[in-house]
Amino acid sequence: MTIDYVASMGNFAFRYVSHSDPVSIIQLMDEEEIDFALVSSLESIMYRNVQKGNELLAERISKHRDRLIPAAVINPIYPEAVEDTLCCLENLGMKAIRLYPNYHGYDPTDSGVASVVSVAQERTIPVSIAFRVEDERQRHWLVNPPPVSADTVLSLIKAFPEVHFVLERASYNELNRLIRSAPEVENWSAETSGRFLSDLRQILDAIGSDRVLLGTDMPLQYSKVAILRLESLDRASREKITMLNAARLLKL
Amino acid sequence: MIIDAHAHLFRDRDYNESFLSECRRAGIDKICAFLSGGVSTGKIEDEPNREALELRDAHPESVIAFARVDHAEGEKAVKQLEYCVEELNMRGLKLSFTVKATDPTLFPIVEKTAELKIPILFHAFMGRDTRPERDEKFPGESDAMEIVELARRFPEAMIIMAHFNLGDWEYGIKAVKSTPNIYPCTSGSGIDADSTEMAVREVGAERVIFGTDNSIYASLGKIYGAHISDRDRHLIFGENLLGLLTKRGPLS
Repeated sequence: MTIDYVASMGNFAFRYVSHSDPVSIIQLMDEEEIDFALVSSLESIMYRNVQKGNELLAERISKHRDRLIPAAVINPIYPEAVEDTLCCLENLGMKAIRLYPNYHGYDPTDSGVASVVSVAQERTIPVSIAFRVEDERQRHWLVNPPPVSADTVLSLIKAFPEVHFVLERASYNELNRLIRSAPEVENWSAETSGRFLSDLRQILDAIGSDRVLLGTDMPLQYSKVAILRLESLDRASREKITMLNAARLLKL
Repeated sequence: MIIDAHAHLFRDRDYNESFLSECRRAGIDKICAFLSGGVSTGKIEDEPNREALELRDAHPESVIAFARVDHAEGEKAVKQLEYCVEELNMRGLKLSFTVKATDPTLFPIVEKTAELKIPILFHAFMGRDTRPERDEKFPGESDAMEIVELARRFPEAMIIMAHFNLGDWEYGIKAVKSTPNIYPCTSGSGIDADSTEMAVREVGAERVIFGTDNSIYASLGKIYGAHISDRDRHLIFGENLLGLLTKRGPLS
């Protein structure tokens, strides 16, 4: 069994995405022998009211829940963020929360974030923090999201030791900053997608294969890259990264 | 056969050897290697071709040496290039972000490459005008449209435009589409899905060239993971570049 922890679905604001519906996402999964993918709404990254994107996602994948696991995109500083979170988890069957601090314009230490993460804590739901969506070098000329500070992410992680955080699309340098600043803090995982994850081996040496997840970032990026990055690893590590770690977090 | 058109070397023999070994492990048969632009502008007193020649002489079956020269040295640079190609069997020229493609001091060098029948691998950024931060970091960096201007001035020159995924790749592909002596290169860490497919569809697989820019798995993944025919993959991975490299004769 293989689980992709970082996938999305829908249309992206800045470019055409050729695999945007559930059937074509499942086709991409089949090509890489991925059994399950944790998907969230691409539209919610740019929508002001992210909840509409969550609802749209739940509707789109309703007939494909045997392969696609929904994650909620929450904007913690928008009105009714806690209510939307509860709705996603309790009514729409979502299994994880995904935050985009720089696209939604807040700091991970803002009080609204704590309110949403508290909901996750009560229900033992994992929380993802996306360090970026697109590479900053290819940003749209109208949008220049500021970098997500690894230090503020670390503050949030430390404030909620019972919550497990997944740091998505983080660079080697960003992950390394967390590792060097607080090696004792272990309630977070890295994942394998992203153009900036140049040295997976060093991340594995630092945090171990129990804290790395397969993430392909399909359909925005070529999923084959993440798969190739794992090829040279030993079987036990691959099994944890591609299956066991995600299964544990998502309670599969 | 897989040939990497874009392999940076450094003044660190261990790194250079280990990069070559990693390429071999990943299934890359040959690399076009040159001293990185960040190490030297290419001026003769720096011995900018030493590392490429050393690695080529140690591994002649795997390494194709590309020359570096400094355009600011004028006629000396042209003579140096001629010497590198005719006497040392270097088979290409690397130009970096130290000189704009539209700078007239570059023209004699480009003219010489056409006469010697060797390709130029030229660093470029896609859509620079809308990203003022590039001017601060790399004032001499060329935009894809400036590469087009150069290629149209010298239609006999063979210009491999490095990393068409650096910046706005849709801009980059559209920019070079109608200029047949520009060969967009897939090198670099950019792994946006659909980019390889668009290059093949718009420019034609016969003009797309594989390279890594030292991002081995990202670069392989976007070719293996692209929805293109096996024939197109074969052309991109090596056949196209081999055609350019052997314009002056067999590789030896």
